Amino acid sequence: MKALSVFLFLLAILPIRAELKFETPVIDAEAALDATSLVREYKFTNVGTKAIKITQADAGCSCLAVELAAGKFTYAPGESGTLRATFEIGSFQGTVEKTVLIWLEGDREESPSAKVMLRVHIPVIISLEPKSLKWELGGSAEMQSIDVKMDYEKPIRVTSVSTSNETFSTKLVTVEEGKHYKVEVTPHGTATGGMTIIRIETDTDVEKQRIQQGFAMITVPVKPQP
Amino acid sequence: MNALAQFAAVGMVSLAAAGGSWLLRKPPVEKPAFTCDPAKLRDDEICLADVKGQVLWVDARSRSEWQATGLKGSILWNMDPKEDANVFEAEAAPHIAAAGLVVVYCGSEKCGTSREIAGRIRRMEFGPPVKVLRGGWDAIKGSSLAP
Repeated sequence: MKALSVFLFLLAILPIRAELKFETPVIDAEAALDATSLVREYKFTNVGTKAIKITQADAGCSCLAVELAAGKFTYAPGESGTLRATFEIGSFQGTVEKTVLIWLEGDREESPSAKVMLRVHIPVIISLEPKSLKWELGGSAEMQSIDVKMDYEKPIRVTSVSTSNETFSTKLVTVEEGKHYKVEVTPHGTATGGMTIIRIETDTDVEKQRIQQGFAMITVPVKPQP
Repeated sequence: MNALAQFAAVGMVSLAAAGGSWLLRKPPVEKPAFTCDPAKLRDDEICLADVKGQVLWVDARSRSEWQATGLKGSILWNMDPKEDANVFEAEAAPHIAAAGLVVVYCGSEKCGTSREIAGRIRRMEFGPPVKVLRGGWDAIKGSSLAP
């Protein structure tokens, strides 16, 4: 009986490692150009020696919803399950990384037991370089330009360039039809400060990238705060 | 040993375990106000106490949260798919150009939206430093800035 009591006592108080092991903790995903959302699943197994209960999974972003398949939260030793992550692409572009933290019952808030990462690659088919042009107040009013480059299977043409006010004039120059353009921007003077939004419209069928914006401004250079 | 004695022994073991657990885990306490540890700051983060000067606050929470409790003088810029990213960018541009420092906050310490918005503002290349507020709204709500 003494041995039984000791065994039961140890069983009750010793920390028994509960482990959640993910097959692929980091998933790289290529988003389709017209996709509005993207779903990926993370398979996991309880490789510990006691049952675990998943109490929380948090991606820290309203753009990424996380749920457990079949709404199952408790897993016996050796049992497998699936965590499903749904990423709302919205206006994201380029490479976006989101980490999902997973807490098991008994975890402290600052120490979740596991984490997985979703790395989404969203194609950027139109790029502006640079995005902003600057002139110094009272300085030279020389023309500067923004390169508009296309990276798409089909040609993309710039259909119009406009500005939000009359402080600057613009001229569209075709470098390579459907592939590369320049927007030349010239201020009418630099005696007074000003800013304009340069709106560049294209004929791409990818609606969320159809309109691009650049900026031109005449300003006193900002001195960064210490 | 009879059954009663065994039952009592098991009961004592359970009580001891429960007591140990109570001592180790401590009783539940009220969550303290957010404190920013400068030593744990990432390069693009700032503590609320260090925000000074001509600051532009950018609220990366939902439109309804911004309308209800957004900081005075703040502008809205979030990743809600129902919002127009070009409009956010265009409306923010003159404010960013006039700012000495841009600080983006979202709903909580774990929120990642503010970092994404801060990246977009930096890519506009307007000049002022752009920081993410450590702790997000959790840091603001316990401060004198809270509405």
